[in-house]
This record gives sequence, structure tokens and C-alpha cells, in this order.
Amino acid sequence: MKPLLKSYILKRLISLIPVIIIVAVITFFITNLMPGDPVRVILGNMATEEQVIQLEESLGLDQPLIYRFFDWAVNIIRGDFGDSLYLNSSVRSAIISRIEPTFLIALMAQLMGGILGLSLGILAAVNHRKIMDKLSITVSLLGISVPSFWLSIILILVFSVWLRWFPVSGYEPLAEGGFSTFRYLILPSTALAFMQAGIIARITRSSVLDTFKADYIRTARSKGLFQRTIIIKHSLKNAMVPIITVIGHNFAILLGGTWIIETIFFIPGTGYLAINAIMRRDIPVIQGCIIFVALIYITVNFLVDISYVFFNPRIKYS
Amino acid sequence: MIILFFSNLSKIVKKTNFRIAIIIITIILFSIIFTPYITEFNPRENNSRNRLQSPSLTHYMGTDEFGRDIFARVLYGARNSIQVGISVVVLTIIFGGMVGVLAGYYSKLDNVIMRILDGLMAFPGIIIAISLAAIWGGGKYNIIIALSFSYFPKMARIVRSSILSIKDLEYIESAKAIGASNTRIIFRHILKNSISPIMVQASFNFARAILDEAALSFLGIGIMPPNPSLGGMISDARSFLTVAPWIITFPGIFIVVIVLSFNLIGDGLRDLLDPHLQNNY
Amino acid sequence: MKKTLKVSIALLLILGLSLIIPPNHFTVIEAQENEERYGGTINIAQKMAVAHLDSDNSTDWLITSMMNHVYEGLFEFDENLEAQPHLAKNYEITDEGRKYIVELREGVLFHNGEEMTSDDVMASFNRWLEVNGAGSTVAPYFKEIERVSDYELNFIFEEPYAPFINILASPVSNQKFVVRHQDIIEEFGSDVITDHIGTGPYKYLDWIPDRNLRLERFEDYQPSPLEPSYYSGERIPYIENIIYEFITEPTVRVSGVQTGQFDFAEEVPTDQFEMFEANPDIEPVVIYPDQMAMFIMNNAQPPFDNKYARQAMVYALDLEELGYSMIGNPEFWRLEASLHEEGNPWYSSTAGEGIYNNYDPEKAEELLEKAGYDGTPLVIVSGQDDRVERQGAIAIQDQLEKIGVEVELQLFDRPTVVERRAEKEGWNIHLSTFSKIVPDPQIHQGWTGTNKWILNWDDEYSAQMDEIFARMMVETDYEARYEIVEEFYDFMWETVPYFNMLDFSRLNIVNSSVQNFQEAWQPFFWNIWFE
Repeated sequence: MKPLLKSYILKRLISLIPVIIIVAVITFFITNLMPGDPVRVILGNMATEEQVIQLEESLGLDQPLIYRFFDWAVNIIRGDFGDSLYLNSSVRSAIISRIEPTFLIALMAQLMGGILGLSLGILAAVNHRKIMDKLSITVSLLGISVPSFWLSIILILVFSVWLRWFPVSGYEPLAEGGFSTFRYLILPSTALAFMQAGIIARITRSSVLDTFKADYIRTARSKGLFQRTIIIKHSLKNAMVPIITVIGHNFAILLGGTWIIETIFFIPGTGYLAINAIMRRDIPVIQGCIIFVALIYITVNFLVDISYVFFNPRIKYS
Repeated sequence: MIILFFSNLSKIVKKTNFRIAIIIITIILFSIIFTPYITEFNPRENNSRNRLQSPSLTHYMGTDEFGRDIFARVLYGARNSIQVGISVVVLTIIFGGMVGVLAGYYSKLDNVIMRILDGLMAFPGIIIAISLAAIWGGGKYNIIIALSFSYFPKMARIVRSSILSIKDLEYIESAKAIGASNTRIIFRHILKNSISPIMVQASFNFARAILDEAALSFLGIGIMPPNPSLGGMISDARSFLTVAPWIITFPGIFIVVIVLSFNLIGDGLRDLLDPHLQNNY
Repeated sequence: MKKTLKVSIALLLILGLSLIIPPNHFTVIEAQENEERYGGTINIAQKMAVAHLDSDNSTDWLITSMMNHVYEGLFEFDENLEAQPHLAKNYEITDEGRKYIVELREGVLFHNGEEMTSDDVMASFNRWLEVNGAGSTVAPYFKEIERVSDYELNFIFEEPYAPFINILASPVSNQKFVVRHQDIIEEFGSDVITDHIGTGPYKYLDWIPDRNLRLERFEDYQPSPLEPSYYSGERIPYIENIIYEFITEPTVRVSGVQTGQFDFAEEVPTDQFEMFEANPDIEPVVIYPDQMAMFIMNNAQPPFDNKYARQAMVYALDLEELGYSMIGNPEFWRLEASLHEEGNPWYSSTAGEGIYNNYDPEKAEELLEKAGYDGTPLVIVSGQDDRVERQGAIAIQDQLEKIGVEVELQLFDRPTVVERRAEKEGWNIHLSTFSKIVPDPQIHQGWTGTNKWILNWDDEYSAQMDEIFARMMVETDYEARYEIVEEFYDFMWETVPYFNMLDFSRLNIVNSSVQNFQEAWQPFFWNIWFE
């Protein structure tokens, strides 16, 4: 690897550290401010004061906040996210055992949204000011204006209840289901992909249009090269930088969206885990899920940053 | 500046999309300001013997599981959503603006503030909002704060970058030389420059706030029952999906219309003021 | 001659046939048919998730309902609501109701292969006394257990305790006494039990808290010798695996049964009843009398520290409107003042006369004034997750506002609700659901009386109520006891620490392929098989 590239990557990695620290601090303090007593729920109605105090001690909930933060932070670095207050498992295994569906939904939604969005955007740019353009603008605007949770329910009504094409809820792991796993994932991914497609179509369109205006394109045109060749070879490559930037930034929205979508479809992914944990005040799990999402988001954007190099070598390694 | 704004406005009003959006928004604003005159029904009044009626001439959008008029609930719900939207946008501009100014103007603070903002932006906005709203137990004012908290980093960055882009310009230097106070410089020159991106971002923020508020209410931590909210109505409608599908359709359509209009406004403003802004979320 | 010949030939034929036909032919066929019934997995959609699986440590009836497959009681109720010996072989009441001699069945095996003995029963019983809500109402009157032998125990009370057996077997919420292996009791004490060794037809496999609970057939299960009748008698685990899933959305539960994803769904919207009846793949299961929607008040805080304010609430509510709001389809709810249903030996037709279902907003306002209500908004604390509770809270707020009472509605997730209502202040009204299938009025003592449950009731009236229950407990003559029970009803409607708003039946649905499903109040899945 070229030394410049190496140091660029290294610099980027180092700049992530303060971000991660801040993420940790924010996560810890937000989650520890939650009212609602998990201890009483675990013990049930008949809990005596002694039992409550005992459980609090054993869970370490009686120590002052600052000590708990450092304890917690040190453990996180070692990869120990603690144990769930309700599930009989460590936070880490709870999250890892639920990654598959979330990952698949996010992937499918991103792919579907990306393909649809890119196509729509390119079509619009190429047919600038014509009907196709206006149509694509409208469709992509709709895409970002429709609430995905509402769309999910409408999709369920039409495709699961009325047409019976897809199951209403649930999930089968890949290992057991193979291809049939996707039957459970199509509706949730579609609901999320709609908004993704809208966002990507918009940025694609404007980004490609921008590159059309660039000098070298005009030069190529004047040389008489085919429109298609021009687009594919030159425009798209340059247009990609803003497009993948936007995709990267919006991955966060996609991840956030999976939380709600998983709850609607009862898909046992990390989002479902998180929402239930929030409702039950299972603080270690909430912390773990929030950090998990933040880390994934940071990673994706890091990869986006690195990928700039391949799309546009002229970007400075600064 | 105001004259400039309005002359530009006339340019974009000619654009069809923008025109449609303005019309829709006017209709919406009209309905939420004059709601008590448009519908005589109280959105919270129960009449359960009349429950789950399909749309009719008395109840334009039918009734829900408590016999409440859905049309009234949709209008009042939209009113709540728009209240939330406006409050969030105002708070975001104020708070994000302050932070952005601090970061942009005082380079010593810049590094620290940027790192913190980066950290905040590493979380999907909805997740921060859900966590905070759940902590505080939901409710209109809590989610206004929660949503503002998750949107302000982006606004702060926008303000900051506008400031950075002109901070060293000559007329600033000369203003300083004359002895103009920092505050004056900030308000007269710098903010003037950032108005455009702020307004564009504000429109998109508004649209997004409507969507996020609906999502939070859907989850049960937004606007709390029995107060009408579009997201809450969608959530309630799930139990009666097959028996009364109209309960879920109308609130959803309303959300789409409101959000779409503000996205159009945002687009229009951007095309008008600064077409090179890559504004999304 | 011909006649004799015919008879002889017939007899010879019969003799011949009985030689040719192999022995046990007919009974073997029956056994084969039964063989075919074995196997399969049943998927059940429950409406709420549980916090844990320890019935002693929570009033959530769902825990007991699911764990009925894993644990059994000394006594269990049959379909006629009579308690039958189950893990007990038989029993005798002596010493005028102070001493219960219980003989245990021998050869009953735990899931770990060990045999159940008196030690297990004693350990479980002591825990039940200490931890379980029903047990703790028995505890003050209880003296000791005498271990007579490995299979015989004496339960000795200070005073004659008439309702003992009914409470041991109680089908209400979590009250039932179940026998756990003594090692488990030793390991967990009064902490929440997370490992389960019982005697039931199914073994505990695993539990993922917001996803599912899995049970599998216990091959060495020893059934009771009695005829099967709901929870008592023979339990045959035809089904191999039981999976409970926690699905909070009713539409999803319904669709699941329609598509075959689930075989049983709990509590589905009553509005779809006609649709289910018409559907050949689905069978509606309606339980009667099932449940009561309860209006609970915080008796320690104004205004409900004054009985007139509490009475006012009864007059303030249009119960029919509540029925439509909370349940919907009028086929599924009823208005009945008596805590025990018509047909039940403890039913009273005069209970609540003049006050129950007497919608009189003016009287309500009068009473509130009499109680000195100062207009502070009333706080209703209820759960978001339960449809009936939530809809009830919204409907009640609307009705109270109509008589000029301001109401603050606080809907929370279950943990916060449990926390808030356990406090002495901060709430005025809470909605809850009680089972109406109560075999003995003494059971109401578990939450009615001085400082019982969350009522915070502690005044001269609560003391009087305690006194009524004390008399109820020792009276063995039915007629005399009935009079005391009527006294209890009248006193309830006079002091109103809480009251029942309406009765309702849950609508459950089961897939038609499931055979022999019983409409019991806590759904169970033994003695059923797939077609």
C-alpha cells in the first residue's frame, strides 16, 4: 500500500478515537438517567426492601455514577458489555445472536434502494427537464416523505393479509431456512428501501447533473463520443463521491429505521432487542445496542472516507 | 436583504412544484389555525357506541375505536405535529446556531466542539430521540427537546462552515479594524451569509421532525394519548387493520402531504439560494 | 332342533373367532390410534412477554399459565371448579378444620428423574408461604407442617381454616401452590427462580425473554389416575414441543393463525369474531365468565382517602360506554355487580344495588363535593401494553372530564407501571384485570383489606373488612358463610376500596387442526393432538 494511503488511513483511524470516547460518554449518561426501576420488575410485586437492596448490590447499581462509568468504560474496551438485566445472557452474546436479521435487512434495503435510486437518478439526469426527469423527482420526493412505519403496515395489509404472499411477521435464520429466510425480509426491506431510493435518487441526479456541467465533459462531447460512454466512463465516477458520502451519512438513518421496522414485523434483530430493552429499562443492553449502532455507523463512514481515494485520486490526503 | 428575498421568491413561485407546495401548505396552515370552525367534533370526545364507522357524510373520515371523529383527530393531530415541527426548527436554529458560531468564530473552541458534534452525529437521530423520549416518558415538550438535541449538530456544522468560509474575508478584517465588536460582526455580516443554508436545512428539518414525531408517537413515546397525533393514530389502527382500514389510511396520507410540501419548499429554497448545497439529512 | 342348531353354530363361531382373533386386538387398535396422536410442535402466540418464570414472585397470571405445563400442584381444579387431589393422593380434614392430613402419590418423578417426596413439598410450601401473595395471606394463620413420612404430611393451623384447599389450587393469577424440586428451592431461596425442575408433563427447555419460551415433552411423566378434567386428572403430553411466542400486536397474532404460523393465539380483537366463526380453519375459543375489569383507587391519597369520593366514581361512569370502548363487541362483555357470577354458589343478585350501573353524573358530583374534593387533577396510571387497560384509561378520562373532573393520563410501559403503582403517592387511579373464576370468596382477601396489594387502604373501614374475612375463614357452614359473604359484598359497595366495572370474555383462536382443545381459563396444551 502506498505510504500516503497508509498514513491517510492511519490519520483517519486516529481521529475516530475522540469520537468513540464521546459516544461512550453520551451513551452511558443518557441510559443511566432513565427512570423506572428494573430491579422491582425482576423481583416482582412481593419484593421486600431487603431483596431490592440485595439485587441492586449484586448488579452493582448502588455505586456512584462516575465510578460506574469508568468501570463500564474499561470493560467496554475489553469487549465486555456486561450482562443483561432480563435476558439470561451477556449483552454481547445477545447482540451477536441477533445481528443476522438486522444485517440482512439493512443490506437488502441498501441494495434495493441503491439500485433503484441510482437508476432513477441517472435516468433523470440524462433526461433533464423532460418528463422522465419530473417523474423521477416526484417519485424520489415521495420516497423521502412517506413514513416507513406506515408504509410497512400498508405493505403488510396488502401483501400479507390480503394477498398472502408473505408472512406477516417472524423470522427464520439462514441456517434453517436458506432461501425461505428472504420471504420474511422482503417486506421490511422494501419499506426501508423506499426512503433510501428517494434519497439516493436525488443526490445521484444532482451530482450527475453537476458533472455534466464540468469542462472535461463538454470537451469529451465536442469530441463526439457517445453519450452513454461519456456518462459511464467519466460522469459517474466523479459523481460517485457525493453519492457515496450521502449513502454513508444516511446509513445511520437506515440503521435507525431498522429499529422500528423490526418491531413492526417482530423480527428478532438488534433493533427489536433495543426497543424492548428501552421499554424495560434493561440498561446494559440499551448501552450495548446504542454503541453497536454508533460503531457500525462510524465504520461505514470510515470506509466511505477511504473509498474516496478510489473514486477520485485527486482528493488530497489531508 | 428582504427585498432580495422577495424578488427571488417571485422567481421560484413561477416553478410549478414550489407553487403546489405553497398552496398545500397554505391549506394546511389554514386548517390547523381554524380547525374549530372546520369541524365541530371534539377530537377527544368518546362515543363508543358509534365506534369503527366507515367514512360517511357526518364523519368524513369515519370514526375510530372510541367513536371519535377521525377527520377532527387528523386535523388536531396535524396541528400538534406542526407545533412540534416549528418548535424543533426554532430550537435547532437557536441552539445549533450558537454552537456553530462558537465553533466557527473561536478557533480554540472549534476542535473540541467539532469532536463532540462528531460524536453526537455518530448516532442515528431517531435513536437519540427514542432514548431521550423514553427516559423522560414521552409527551410533546419532551420530544421537542429530544428531537432538537438530535438535529442541532448538523445545523451547528452548517453555521460553522458558513462562518469559516467568510471569517477571513476582507470586509470582516476591516470591520474589526474599525473597532466593531465581535457580536456586531457576527450578526450583521456572518449570519447574513449563512441565512440561506440555514433556511434550506430548516425546511428539511421541519419535514424530518414531522416524520420523527410521527414515529415516536407510533412507538408510544411521542404525543401521549388521548391527545391526537398522526403517528399515534396509525399505531392504534393496527388492531383494527382488517376491520377498519380507513383509520390507518388517512393519517398516513396527511403525513405524506405535509412532509412532501416542506421537502418541496426546501428544494425550491435551495435551487433559489444556493444550488450547490448538498442538503439531505 | 333348528333353533338349537343355530344357537350352537353361533356359539361355535364365536368361540372359533375368539381363538383366531389375537388377544388385545381391539385395545391395541385403540393404542395405535393414540400412537398416531403423538408428536408435533405447537406454536402459541401470547399477547405479552413475562418478566421471568417464577410464579411465586409475580402476580402475572401468564407465568402460571405457561408453567402449568412444567409444575403441578398438590390440588388442581377441574372443569366444575372443584379442587381435586393431583400430586396429593387423598386428604382428610380433622380437628375441626385445623389439621389437614395429606397423602402424596408415590412414584411421581421430577424432570431430573428423582422421585417427589414430602421434603420437596415442604420446601416448596414454605417458600409459597413466604413469597407468594396468596401464601402470605395464609401464613399468619398457619402453624406448622408435620412430616409424617416420605409420602405423608400434616398441615396444621392455629384456627380452623376452611378455604385452604381452594387457595392451594387457586386458579387466580399466580396464587396456586406448585411443587418444585427441593434443590431448586435451596439454590434460589426467595430469589427469582431461573432453573426449573417440576413434575409436569413438559420440561423447561429455554426462554429468550422477549421472544419465546420452549418446552418439550417429559417422557417419564407420571399422570394422575383421575379422569382428565381441565387441570385435574390425567394429562397426556401428545404434543412433542410447545413454543410460546410473545407477539404484542393482535393483527399479527390473528394473521399467524390464519397462515398456520401459529396454532393458537391469545386475545384477538372481538370485532373479528364473525370472521373467525365463518372461517373453517379457525375455531374461536370463548371463556366464560373469564375476567373483570377493575377500577383501583389509591386509598391513601385524597380524594380517595374518603369513601364518598370513591362511591362517586361508580356513579360517574357510564359502564355501557366503557364496555364498547374497552372490549368492543357487546357479545363479549357483560355488566354484573356480583364478584361471583350467576350460577356460582357465592353469587348474589342484590350486590351493588342502587350504585352499580347507576349512571348518575349529578350524584357523582354531589358525592365528590361531600368528600371535599378540591379539584386537583386525578392521575390515572395504566399500562400501554394491555389494550383493555389502555382503552379503559382513555375512556374513563373522557367520562370524568364530562363531570368536570380533570384527569391526567399517564400511560407507561409495564416496568414503570409496576413501579409507580407500588408507591404510596403519585397516582390516584389504576386499571387492572382480575379473574372472575374464583373458587372461594376468601381468595379476595389477598387484595382486600388493610394495606393489601397496592390499595394503601388503612383506616377503620379496612379493619372492619379484615374482621369480616376473619369470620369468613372459620365459618364452615355454607348458609352461615354465605351470609358473611353477602356482608362482604355490601361492605364493598359501601366503602368501595376498588370496584369491578364490567365482566368480559377473552376471545382466543385455535387452528382447527388442533383436537380436543379445552376452553379453560388458563389455556393448556396437554391432552390435545393434531389432526
